[in-house]
Amino acid sequence: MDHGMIIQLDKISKSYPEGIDNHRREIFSDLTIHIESGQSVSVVGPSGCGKSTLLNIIGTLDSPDSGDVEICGTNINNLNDKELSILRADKIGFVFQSHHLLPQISVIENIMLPNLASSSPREHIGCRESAIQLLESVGMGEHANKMPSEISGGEMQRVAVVRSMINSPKIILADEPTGALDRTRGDALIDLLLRLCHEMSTALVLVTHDSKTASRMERKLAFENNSILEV
Amino acid sequence: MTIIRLALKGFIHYWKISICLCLGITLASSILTGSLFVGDSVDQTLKNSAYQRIGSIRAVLNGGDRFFTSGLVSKINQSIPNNISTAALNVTGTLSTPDKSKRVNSVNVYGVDNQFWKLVSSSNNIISISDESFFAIGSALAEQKQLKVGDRVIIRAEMPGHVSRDAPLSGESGKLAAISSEITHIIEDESGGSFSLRAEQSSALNVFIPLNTLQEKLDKEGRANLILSSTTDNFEKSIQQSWTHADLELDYNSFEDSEINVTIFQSDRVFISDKVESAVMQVDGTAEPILSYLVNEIRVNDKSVPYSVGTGIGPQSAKILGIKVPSKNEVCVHHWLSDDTENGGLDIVTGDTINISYYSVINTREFTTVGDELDDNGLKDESDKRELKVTSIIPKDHPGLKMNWVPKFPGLETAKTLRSWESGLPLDTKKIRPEDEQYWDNYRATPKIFIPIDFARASWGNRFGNATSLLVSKVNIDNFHELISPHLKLTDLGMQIRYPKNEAERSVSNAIDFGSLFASLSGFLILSSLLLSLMLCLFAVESRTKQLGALGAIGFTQKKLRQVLLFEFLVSILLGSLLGSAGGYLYTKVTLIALSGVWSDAAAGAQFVFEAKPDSLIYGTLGIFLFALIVIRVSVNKITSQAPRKLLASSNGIGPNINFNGKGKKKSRFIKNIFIILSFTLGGCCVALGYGSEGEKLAGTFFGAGFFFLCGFIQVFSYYLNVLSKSTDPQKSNLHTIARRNSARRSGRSLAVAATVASGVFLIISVNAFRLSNSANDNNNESGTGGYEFFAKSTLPIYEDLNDEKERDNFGFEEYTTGKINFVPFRVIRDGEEASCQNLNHAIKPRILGVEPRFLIEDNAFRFSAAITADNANGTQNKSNWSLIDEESPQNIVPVIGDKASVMWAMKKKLGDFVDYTAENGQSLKLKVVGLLENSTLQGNLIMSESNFIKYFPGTSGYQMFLVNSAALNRTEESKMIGDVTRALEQRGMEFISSDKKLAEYTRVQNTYISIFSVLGGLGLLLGTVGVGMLIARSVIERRSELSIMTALGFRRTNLTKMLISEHLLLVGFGILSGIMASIIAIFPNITDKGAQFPIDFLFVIVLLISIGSITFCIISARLSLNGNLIQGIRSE
Repeated sequence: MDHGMIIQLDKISKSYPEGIDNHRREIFSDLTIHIESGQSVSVVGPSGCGKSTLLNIIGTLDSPDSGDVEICGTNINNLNDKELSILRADKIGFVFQSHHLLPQISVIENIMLPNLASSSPREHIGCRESAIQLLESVGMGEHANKMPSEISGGEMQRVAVVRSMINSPKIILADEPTGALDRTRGDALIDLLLRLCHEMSTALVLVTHDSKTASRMERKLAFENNSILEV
Repeated sequence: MTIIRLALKGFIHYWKISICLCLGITLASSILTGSLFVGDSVDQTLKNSAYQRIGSIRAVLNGGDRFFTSGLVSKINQSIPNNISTAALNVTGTLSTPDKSKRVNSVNVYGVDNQFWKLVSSSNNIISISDESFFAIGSALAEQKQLKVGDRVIIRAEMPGHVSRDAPLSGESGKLAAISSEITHIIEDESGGSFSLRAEQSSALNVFIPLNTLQEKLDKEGRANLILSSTTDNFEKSIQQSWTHADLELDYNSFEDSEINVTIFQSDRVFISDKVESAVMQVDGTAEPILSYLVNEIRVNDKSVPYSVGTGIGPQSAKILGIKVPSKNEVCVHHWLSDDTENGGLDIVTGDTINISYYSVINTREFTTVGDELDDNGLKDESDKRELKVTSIIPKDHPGLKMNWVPKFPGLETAKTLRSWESGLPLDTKKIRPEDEQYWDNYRATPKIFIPIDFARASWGNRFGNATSLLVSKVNIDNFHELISPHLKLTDLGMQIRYPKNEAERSVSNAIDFGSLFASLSGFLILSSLLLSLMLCLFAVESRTKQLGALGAIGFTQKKLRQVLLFEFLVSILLGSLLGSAGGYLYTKVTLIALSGVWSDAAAGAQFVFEAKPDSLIYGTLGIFLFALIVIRVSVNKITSQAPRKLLASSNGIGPNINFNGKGKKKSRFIKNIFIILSFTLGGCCVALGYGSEGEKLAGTFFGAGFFFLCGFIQVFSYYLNVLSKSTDPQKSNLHTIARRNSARRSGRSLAVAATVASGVFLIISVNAFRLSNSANDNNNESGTGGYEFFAKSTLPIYEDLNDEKERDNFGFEEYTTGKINFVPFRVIRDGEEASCQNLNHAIKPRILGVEPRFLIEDNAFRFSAAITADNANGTQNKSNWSLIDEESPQNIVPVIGDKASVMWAMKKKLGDFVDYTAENGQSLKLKVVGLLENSTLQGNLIMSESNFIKYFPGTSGYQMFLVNSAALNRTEESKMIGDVTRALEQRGMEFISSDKKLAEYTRVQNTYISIFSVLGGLGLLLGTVGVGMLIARSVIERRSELSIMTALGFRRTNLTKMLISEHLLLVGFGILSGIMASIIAIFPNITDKGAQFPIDFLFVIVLLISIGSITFCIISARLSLNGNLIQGIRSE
């Protein structure tokens, strides 16, 4: 493993069956991407080019048809579902286009949720303090005990960002996190993501359609003709 | 935050789902627990009833038609410490008021003492009746006839004979004792008013009077036929140690002369049982049987002497008479016969040949004359000759003639003249001459001829015994018990030792299991409520797939996801299961009310008490809890095993990418085709296997066939949906075709709708098809009535042949009825228990009937559903099947025929099985079921041939059940005829009931069970319809955005609603059609010939309900989806 490389994709290919006759459509092939620890990377490209698929592969939610994937020095090709879940819980944070907060629990409990999935969960009090600190750091300390239905869409998305950080992951994967937000709130969310990732030396991989948002990342990867280019 | 906390939060947040799930589980748990409680209640009711009817009686000596000394009980009491025993006398009689306005044809009359009340009381309220002339009746009798203290009533009971009324020389039949009295006490059930040894839940109709009064009235002073004891310990041993010759109804006298000193034992019952004779012979090898009998005629050439006693003797007797023992065809005669004819004699000298004739018993008091040289048709028959050569003439004054050669023939001692002797044999008194009366005056019944004992036994022996006296030298009255008891038990003579508590427990524990019955009848309702709640649960899970995907993405393992959902549902399931116990209470209460009301036919007259056992509570609650948990776990597993990416990619919770059916969808068309062919083939095989079968086999094949056909139809529908889903022809696109294609979009859900409806329709129609009709072919001899118009019972046995004109005259039948009305008489065992659906208890001693099979063969009566025949191991209708009960069988095996329903369900046996029984002499019998009748009036009985009945139950005399044909031209004549016969036989307690009414009593029970199933199954189907409606609503609401877009494109909402209705009616319609077709194909080939009818009315109601329910749900769902904000609806995409 190269020192500082947190994500290493080597010559990965992916295709999906399509249509009634299950003909396989190639999404990308021989893709190689290396991302260092603490680095922020945007992935852009047209709809259906494979941005989300790439993110899913990095997030261990999907696997490539061929090629090697190493996350935090672990080759995921040989891991079972349980090991992959633990890897995700401990090393990866997700921010989706939709916040996916659980409506039945409070904001603070939503933030603490990944701790429940962790292989080495912290004690309740410690975890709660961290969650409150994080929440306060995004200016939402007073919303801690509110239910998700009691806060706005932008606030929900901020909570989702905070939730992704609670286990101090090495990687944050964000799939169009600003897709459902207006420009101002979207920019603020990206600011938040970049700040938190910087503070915690967390790599950020962000899928977006928005070139302005993409340009704010250290690196910009663009899909073109089933391959990816460093822009 | 913990998994449990998260689950609890989910439970609260999704409270609507939680409550629905909880209610569904509560319903299922209530029904199951309630069904088990119903079982407990029935069980407890039967137990209460059983313990109430036997009180604290634990052992009984039942003499039946034998009467031991009432002093026997004192000896038992002395030999068993701390025991309460009492003797009682029991007979069956009729009860009526003097004005005959109230009449009960069958009451148990008990002669009892004060100890009796201590034993029969099931509570601490032990009554004591000090009145020495009390006349008490049980409260059940009082209630039934609205009798009260102070009312005058008359009971009539047959005077028990010393000897079976069927026996020759048993004296006059039909003598009745009448007791008229005012009712002094009404005895409540708990005080012994319902005392009975029969395992039947309905309270017995009892009359209690002082023991000595009944003994006196029945001419049975000092005698009893019941000993009731409070303990089983040493009871049998004590009896065995205590009985004396008097308890065997034996009397004795001595004869002594210079050379001989013997004791002569004779029986009050005239004939000495073979068992007693055998026991005596074992002890005293020199003992000698003597058999005396009435000889109709002693003839020498053209001279004859009427009605003399003849006696069979052996060497000892010959010695007493001072003659050489006669050998074969030899006879020694009284000197009187050697007198000249003027003195009444026959001028007989040694070496003469005499002919004798006598009556031989054919059946009940039916005799044929033997030795009159005529055959049965009155024609000359030389072979019918009994010729004997005179070898000795015994002097008139020979002391040996003074010995008591003749037993106490009934009426003999009191008859002042030969003419007035009511011997029970048809004597032609015109033949009796003054000289014969002179002999009677001088010598009474002293035998006139002495023949070899072997010849006498061969000629006059019968089922009641082969000796009338026993001549013994070693056994005397002092050592009788000591010597004989090792070789003889009272039970050998037909007395029974019974243990009522054990019998009650056996009858209750083997009784109809109402718990299982109601659980089965409610099965579809339970399943429907479970499926409904689980469907809700599944919907709830489906609606949260994205949430689950997100949790998976942030690192929740499948196990943790499962735990979250399971814990969340666990709360609902647990609560629902626990609430089910309270619901079960309500369900039981309602069911018990129904069983006392609208479903009372299934309860066979029982009044139920509520009982809920902890076991039932645990089984009901835990059963549903575990079942729900397992099913939910399987459902949750299916979803949580999906990759988080797929869950996240689903739209509205269920995306097209999610395959909840796992790999099933990928089945090739080939496999599906094979599956369809296999299903229909297996269904066809089941139908073929079930053809002609009965009971459990028929039920098994019927459900098997139904299941396979339903699977086949559903697969065909799946195939059709698959074709629809691939149909892309734009030319055919209209709202109707879109609707059809829509139904193919979620084939799993569509198939679930069709399958639910199909299963419900199949079950309800099929079960209702088994509803019995008793109106069809009532007069057909192959019907359940056997073609007999009436079923009759008499309280007191009828010994006479009611088909005989003379006997009819004697009874006073109206002239015009004789010759027309025809009776098929049945002997009925004493204390037999009804073994049919009308007795909730398990009959320990099923009622046995004895019939002459030729009557039924001639009438080709009843339809056989199965019979074991020599050439056909499983034959059905066969004219000669009745002859099966007359066929010879190995020792102790007795062929019997029973009604199929009684044998299968009440006795839990099948064709070819054996029912264990005990003959009157204590011999173990195996009753082999050789034929099964189809739904007949003979339910509740086992029928054997009359010859076997007489052989094994000789003490049960006369006939008490009849199948009757009036051959009347019309109803008026029939009614008049039956009225006349009823009046003529009133004293015997004859009661007629029309056969179709009798049959209806039984069919009502089965039909009530079907009604219960219909109601519960209907409720199940209703719940199923709600489930179907929810599936429909779910599908429609999920497509809200799609429908909104179609609205935005210009489709009218009415048309869209029509499209939705059309789409879902296709599914429901297919379900209904499949259910009907599966019912028709699966069961009707097997049951149409048994009177089953397609329940068209019921089907119509079901189809209507399901259709209306489905359409309503479609309309409501469409409105919910289309009536909201269009933009919002579009955005929900």
